[in-house]
Amino acid sequence: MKNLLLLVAAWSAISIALGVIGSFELNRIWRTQASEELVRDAAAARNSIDARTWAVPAESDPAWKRMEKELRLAVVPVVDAAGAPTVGDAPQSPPLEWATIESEHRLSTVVALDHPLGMANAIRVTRLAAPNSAQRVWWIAWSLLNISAVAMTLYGARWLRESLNSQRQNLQAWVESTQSENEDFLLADAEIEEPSLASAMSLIANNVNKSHRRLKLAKERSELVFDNLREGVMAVDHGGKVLLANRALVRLLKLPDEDVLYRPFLEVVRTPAIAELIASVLTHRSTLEQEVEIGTQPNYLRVAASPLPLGKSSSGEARSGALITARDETYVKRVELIRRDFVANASHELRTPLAAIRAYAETLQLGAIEDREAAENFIGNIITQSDRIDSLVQGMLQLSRVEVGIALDFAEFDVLAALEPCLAAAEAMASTKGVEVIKTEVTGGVQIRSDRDAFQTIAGNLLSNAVRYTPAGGTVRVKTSIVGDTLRVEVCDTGIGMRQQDLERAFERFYRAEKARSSDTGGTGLGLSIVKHLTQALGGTVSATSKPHEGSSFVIQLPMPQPPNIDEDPFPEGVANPE
Amino acid sequence: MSRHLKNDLEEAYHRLLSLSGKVEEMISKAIRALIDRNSSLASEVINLDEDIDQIEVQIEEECLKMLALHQPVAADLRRLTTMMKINNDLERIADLASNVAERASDLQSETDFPIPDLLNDMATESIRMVRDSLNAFVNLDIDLAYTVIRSDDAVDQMNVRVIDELGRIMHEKAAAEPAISCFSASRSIEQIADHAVNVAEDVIYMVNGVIVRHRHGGTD
Repeated sequence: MKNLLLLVAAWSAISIALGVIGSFELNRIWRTQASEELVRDAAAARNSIDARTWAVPAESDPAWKRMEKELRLAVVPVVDAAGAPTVGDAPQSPPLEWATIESEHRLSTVVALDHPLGMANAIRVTRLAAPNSAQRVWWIAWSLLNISAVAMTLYGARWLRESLNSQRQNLQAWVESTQSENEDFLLADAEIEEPSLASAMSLIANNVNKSHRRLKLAKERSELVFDNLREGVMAVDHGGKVLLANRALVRLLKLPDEDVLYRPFLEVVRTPAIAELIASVLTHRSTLEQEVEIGTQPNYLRVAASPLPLGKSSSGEARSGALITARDETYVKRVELIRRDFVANASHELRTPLAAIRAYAETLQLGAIEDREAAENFIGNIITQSDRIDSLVQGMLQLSRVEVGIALDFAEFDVLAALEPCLAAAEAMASTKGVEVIKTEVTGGVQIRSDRDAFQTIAGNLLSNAVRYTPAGGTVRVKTSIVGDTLRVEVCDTGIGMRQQDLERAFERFYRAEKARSSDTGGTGLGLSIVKHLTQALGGTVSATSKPHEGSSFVIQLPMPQPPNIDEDPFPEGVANPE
Repeated sequence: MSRHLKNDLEEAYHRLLSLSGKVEEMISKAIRALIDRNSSLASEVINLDEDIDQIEVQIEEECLKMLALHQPVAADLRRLTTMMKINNDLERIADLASNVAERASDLQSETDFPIPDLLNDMATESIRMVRDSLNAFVNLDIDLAYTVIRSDDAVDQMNVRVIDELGRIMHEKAAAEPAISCFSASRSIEQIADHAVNVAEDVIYMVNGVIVRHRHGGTD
């Protein structure tokens, strides 16, 4: 395109230059030629005039008329009116001048006559200045050339403008699409009239769109995995700015719901232990793992931090950030605590009665055996204490059996019948304390399919607890009912109750609210734990509510399989034929 | 702002954040020591308080140095003064937490004394207020700051109820000393909440340039 324009411009320039130069040159040649011929004619005329004798006046001579006609001869004085000489100094180079003679542009010269003719002694000879044919052809050609050059330039410019316009129109739609908010942010137009430029861009657009879609998909996939991890993950760059943090981490560290990207980690994580961990990894590039307590419950997290290679800085040294993972170990920790407590409690519980037995035995050995009354007393105590150890060991065995999963013997039995012995025992214990046991029940004859021994153990434990923790004058209420397809057994007391945090831990082994009262009221601390495990083994649930100083209420729910109803249509309308 | 001022501010800011983390942890531990009657936790908290005091002095010195050297103006000045005030409030909160820990060790032996459940709730709320006010500072979140200011009434009411219950228990059980320790702890917790409110007000000043202290009637 540009080349063509250049070509046309060069063409015009050359032709104009040629024309101008050529014209001048031809002009010069022509002038030179004309002046040479004129000089020759002038010399010839002078010679011929000088060679003959002329009549007087010379103008009447017919030969003169002929010469006059041919050469436009004129006789002029040597000195003109002003006194200036009309003849040049050198006869060889006579003065040539252009003049308009009889309305014709002529080259004229004046030569002196050797023999004066009449009064004059010089002749003027002239020659017509008319371009010859060569010149004419040249001028025509040159004009045509110039016109053609101009025409070509105009045409070329118009063609160029049109083609540019059509390109611009094609790209206009494309430009508009990049400014809109499309999913594919580049518009690929299939209908391009003008090939090359726009179609190349269309191809680019297609490729870019494809990569963009693929990248977005990959990003979404990894984000999905990342955000659904149960472990918390956070990455920090070499400057301490957060690169990413998943949802689990925000939840575990109880971070506020703000965007954390590119903020210094100290702003985001204020827990001192974790902040120090991150700072340490960033400075020393070591891997660290630590248990961290969070919050007031507290929750326990296992936090691991390791260095994260982040490429090289501009000066070539390796940059390293930190990658932090956090796992919730609260449950594990709590189990550990329970286990520790259990071992400590068990040994303590066993040691006390053992010490007492030993003391009594030693005393007997030292001589108390002689005193009959004292000896009987002591021996009675030894037996009581051994019973205590026995019930403790029994309880622990029972618990471990239940936890391991003993074989349960499912059979149908009557609920009230099974409850009777437990109620009797509870009433016996209650009467010595001055506590009343009241039973309210629904209709009798309620049958349940379950393990009878387990059921009795559960009820027995709940009842004995209720009586044990109710002061004199209080009541223990037992209620059985059927709710839907579950049997509901409620044991409520008006006893000392427990606080909310004790209630949460009530079903733990050996857990007793207000640890100071360990052996005052008797009991092993295992009762509720046994109740919980047995109930779960029977497929039921146990729940408790309590208010300090007002009392507690324990509810057992056991599943009761519904007896089939014979009158019911097994295939109600519409089920068998789903039309 | 000059580069030096910027660097110094950032450093002081990070120190303040680190301090705030430690103080938040202190309060949690102190409350736990009180409720669980954990004496080792209580002495941990009391020892921490000394460190906090030292850090508070360091931060204050740094801030004063910045004021003298760089003479900041406008937003930078507000930020610097707010940091100094929050630093001060955090140190007071740490002292109060230490006080709670001391009461916890007093109550160590009184295992029969029933600490009111409401005290636990009050403590949880106070801790939440401290954490939220610091979050508001970090995120320049005015709405959160106002929420903290509004929560103070609830804590005050809970304090009154705790005192009532303690009075009743004192009457019933004639257990004057533990009740007084508990009462002192409750007051300290209520004062922690007040300081959290101070921090929130400072944050509002830093962001808006308006002091909202003593004007709570019309902040809704």
